[in-house]
Amino acid sequence: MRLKLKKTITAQEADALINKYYDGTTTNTEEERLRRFLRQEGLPSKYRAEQAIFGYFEQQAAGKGRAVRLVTVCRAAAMVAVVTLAGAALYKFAKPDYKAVAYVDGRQITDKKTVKTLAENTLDNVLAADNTIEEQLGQFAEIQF
Amino acid sequence: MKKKRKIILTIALICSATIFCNAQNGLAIRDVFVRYGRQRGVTMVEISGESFGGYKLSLFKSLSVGNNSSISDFIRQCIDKDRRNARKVKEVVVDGVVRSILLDLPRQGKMSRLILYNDDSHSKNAITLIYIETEENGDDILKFILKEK
Repeated sequence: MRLKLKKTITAQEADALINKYYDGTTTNTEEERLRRFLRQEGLPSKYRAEQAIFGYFEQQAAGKGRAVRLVTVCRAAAMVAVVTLAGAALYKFAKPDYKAVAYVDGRQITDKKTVKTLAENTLDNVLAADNTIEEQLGQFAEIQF
Repeated sequence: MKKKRKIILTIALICSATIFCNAQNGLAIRDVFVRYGRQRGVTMVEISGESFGGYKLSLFKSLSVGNNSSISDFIRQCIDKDRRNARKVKEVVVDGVVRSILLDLPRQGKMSRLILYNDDSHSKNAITLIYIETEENGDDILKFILKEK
């Protein structure tokens, strides 16, 4: 397997590209080559202006990246909010108002009349025994103080 | 990107699920219905949106079983936990044994909540537990329940 090493351009090639850049005729590939050249350390001071220009543009690109991330986070938050609200609305409106089910010995019964009868019987169990206090108070009602 | 979307949707579903908690959640007696509701020898009833004696109950949930000390012990443990927050507690003790308990719990939103428990060893359905949620006034429901015979 042959490894392809990225070669930086020479100073002469860089000068030619800089002129092309100022003419506005450089391609993206050429600009990338120039950028790579200008990132090197120890370059002559004559390249400082171009280094500053390309450094500025790189900062702008990084800023755009931050902005894009913020937009992604906002989109994600909006999606979560919409799904949550939709789910809550669906639950509220789709939830049946009436439900009747009973389990007797683990066997499910859904006949409304039967279930209601079972419920009333259960209530009677509690009511029959829950009159103790009333009975005790009732005894005092009969006493002539 | 697909993975990110899956994570976001999972978070959204979890958020939705937390919204759907109802008034019964957070009560210890919920465990009674979950644990014993579909067992042999047990009758469990759940009705929502039904009227009893002219009073509309948002939820009526009950459990009845014959004489069973382990179930009655568990129910009483759950009721003891729930009674800590009750507005009103009514308890009847006969011969040193708790025979019936009525808890009037604090309202949750519009809902009044009641727990009724009865332990009558002479009855076929000796142990009865009832949980009621209603938008009606809890005191009115109690009056209706205690007046009926």
